[in-house]
Amino acid sequence: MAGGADLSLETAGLDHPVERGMHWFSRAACAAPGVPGPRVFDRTRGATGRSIDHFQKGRYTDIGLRRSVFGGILSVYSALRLVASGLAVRRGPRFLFRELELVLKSGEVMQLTGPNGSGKSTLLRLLAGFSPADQGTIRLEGMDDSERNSAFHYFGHREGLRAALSAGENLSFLAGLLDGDARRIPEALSRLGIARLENLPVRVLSEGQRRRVALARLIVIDRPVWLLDEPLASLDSEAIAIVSGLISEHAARGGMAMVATHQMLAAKTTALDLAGRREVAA
Amino acid sequence: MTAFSAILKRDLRLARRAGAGAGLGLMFFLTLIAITPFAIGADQKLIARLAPALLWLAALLATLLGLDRLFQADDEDGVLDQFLLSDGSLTLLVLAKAIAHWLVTGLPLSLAAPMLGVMLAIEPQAMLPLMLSLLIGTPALTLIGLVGAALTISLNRGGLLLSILVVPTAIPTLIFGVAVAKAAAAGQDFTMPLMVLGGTTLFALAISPFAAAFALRQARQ
Amino acid sequence: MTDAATPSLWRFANPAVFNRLADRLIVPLAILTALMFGWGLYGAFFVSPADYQQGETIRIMFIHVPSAWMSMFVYAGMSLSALGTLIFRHPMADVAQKAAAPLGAGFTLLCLVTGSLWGKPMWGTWWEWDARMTSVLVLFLIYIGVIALWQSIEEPNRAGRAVAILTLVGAVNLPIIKFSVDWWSTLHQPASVFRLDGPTIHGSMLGPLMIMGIAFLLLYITLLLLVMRAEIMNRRAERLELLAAEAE
Repeated sequence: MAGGADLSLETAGLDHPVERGMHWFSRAACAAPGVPGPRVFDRTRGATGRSIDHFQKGRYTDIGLRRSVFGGILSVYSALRLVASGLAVRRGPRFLFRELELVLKSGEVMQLTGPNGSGKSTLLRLLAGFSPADQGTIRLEGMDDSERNSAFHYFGHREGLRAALSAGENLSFLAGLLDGDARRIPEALSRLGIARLENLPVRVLSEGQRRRVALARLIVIDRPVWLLDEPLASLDSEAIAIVSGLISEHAARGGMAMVATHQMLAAKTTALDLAGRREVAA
Repeated sequence: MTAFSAILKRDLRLARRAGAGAGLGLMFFLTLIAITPFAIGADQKLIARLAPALLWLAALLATLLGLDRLFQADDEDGVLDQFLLSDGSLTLLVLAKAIAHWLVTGLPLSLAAPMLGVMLAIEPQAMLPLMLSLLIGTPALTLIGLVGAALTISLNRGGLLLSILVVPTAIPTLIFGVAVAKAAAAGQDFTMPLMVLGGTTLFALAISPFAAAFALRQARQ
Repeated sequence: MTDAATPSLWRFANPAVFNRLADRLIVPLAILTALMFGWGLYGAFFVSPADYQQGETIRIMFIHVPSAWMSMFVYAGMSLSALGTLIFRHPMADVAQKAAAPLGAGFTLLCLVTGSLWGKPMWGTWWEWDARMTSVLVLFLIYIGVIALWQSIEEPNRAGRAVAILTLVGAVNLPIIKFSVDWWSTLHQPASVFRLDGPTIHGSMLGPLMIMGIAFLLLYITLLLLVMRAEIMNRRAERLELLAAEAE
């Protein structure tokens, strides 16, 4: 596959240009009659992750603000676009991929596939901002660069749990670290079917249970862009259904997700296949 | 700030938990001090003269030897990735880890020093200044070690390498820390070395968290 | 070993049986311990005479010497338990060993502290790097190591075996350590240093000392039963919690 394959997923109607520095709540919502838009607009600080939180804590009670009309979908997030262009990653003598273009928009789920070693994990870590690309740029449009960090959920092979702490302690730590809402932990755990594990140390949990605990942070910490690396690995069919459902809901609320998995997801997905993109470097 | 306190709280909680090696630094400190007379000999006067140096060296080693796991453990279970997605600046988060580390290593070790000072026959009037010098100086050791811990994060035998990297940087702290106790034992004024010691700690505070955060980011690539 | 048919000591190596036994024994043992301490301390303070050389400070001996005995006795017991862990893989041996370590460390610390208190008026210094005190200090360090290892390995069975090995290595090494410390001490120490064991023990001191020794032993057994019972309960609670979690 030659470089520059157009993977942009822009669809007429869904596409609308979003200015930098805008916040969760899209211009459309803020401009809606009866909504104290300027309040949001003036927040040049644009505490994105926080503003959702403030709504949940009842700081802003006007329900109108929570909604943004986005392509016909009722959304709690502002319109965001994750745009990568000309992306290349080099590993030794070859490129894992080159000239990779992708656009991921609010409400979309992108399924990332490809054989082992094709760079799925690398791409996700790249998008999360953990490491720089060898070439190309990644932008999250619709959000300040300074706020970029708090837009992403990254879920990888290493789940981010400490074995000596209990499930609840782990999640409340992550909630503190990532500005989530620790009060939602019981709800999140029961959603994942592991309410009774809250006080058990993670070290005694099975692989699948551990991953369920780790995935509960997607609920506890509200973030618009989910980057999930094999989230369904080691899960039983019940848990797969739950997680798949979470992803669909997230998309329905106007969030976006990029999921590296070969399983079928419940949500309507667009596909990105990294197979056959390796190239020997010049 | 919530991220900062979340890390502080978690690290202190982990230190209390079994399996986290809580208090190992203190135990190492005790053991090291307890065996030195076997090497030096039971000459009480000689031991007393060497005591400040022994205590400071032991404090340095006790601080450094556990530090290699400081970020490694977080890296292995993937928590470090989450650090990078936090709102808080990585520098502050790293500082939170340093503070937690000092609270479970440097602080108990400083408080235990007078007891060991008794065993090493330190002059009574030097006991408090010695403790003070450790209280003021050991944060510098933790902070300096922090950079080493970040640099050696992905290395298997990080502990040894870390010590090699970091010990030279700890020389000023060692010099002035021992100077405080020596001056106090001789009944002299120890304000000057104490001030300089505080200076080295403040300097480490100003530099290390930034350097460590930078090193961590580099290590991710 | 035929079980059930022949009533043997092995019967008590069953945690449930042990707990029932412990439940019944702890209170009487505690009372007995208190009585022995009362008797022993009375003897130590009121019956036994002051030493012609050391005066009233000799009375520290009635705490110091029994705790020194116990520090070694407990370690010997731990070594036996360690054998039980390694050879028979019996969980009760684990539990006994785990419970004994902090108690042994406590007795050793008591021995060190009382020795230090005794040393101040005798030598004019709190601490002397004399062969005996130093050996006890080394024993204390080994105890500390055993406890640290227990705390560092989370999985009880694995921890039990690791600690058993450490305990036995320590047991084999203790005589060598003792010998080398003695040698080190004679090398550095002027021969005139006053020894804590003193010349001979007067008969009127020996009686209370023995009673105190028995009191310490009873105290140890009582505490050991208490701690072991707690440890068994702890492990059972952990197991139940796990089962409950799995059952969902």
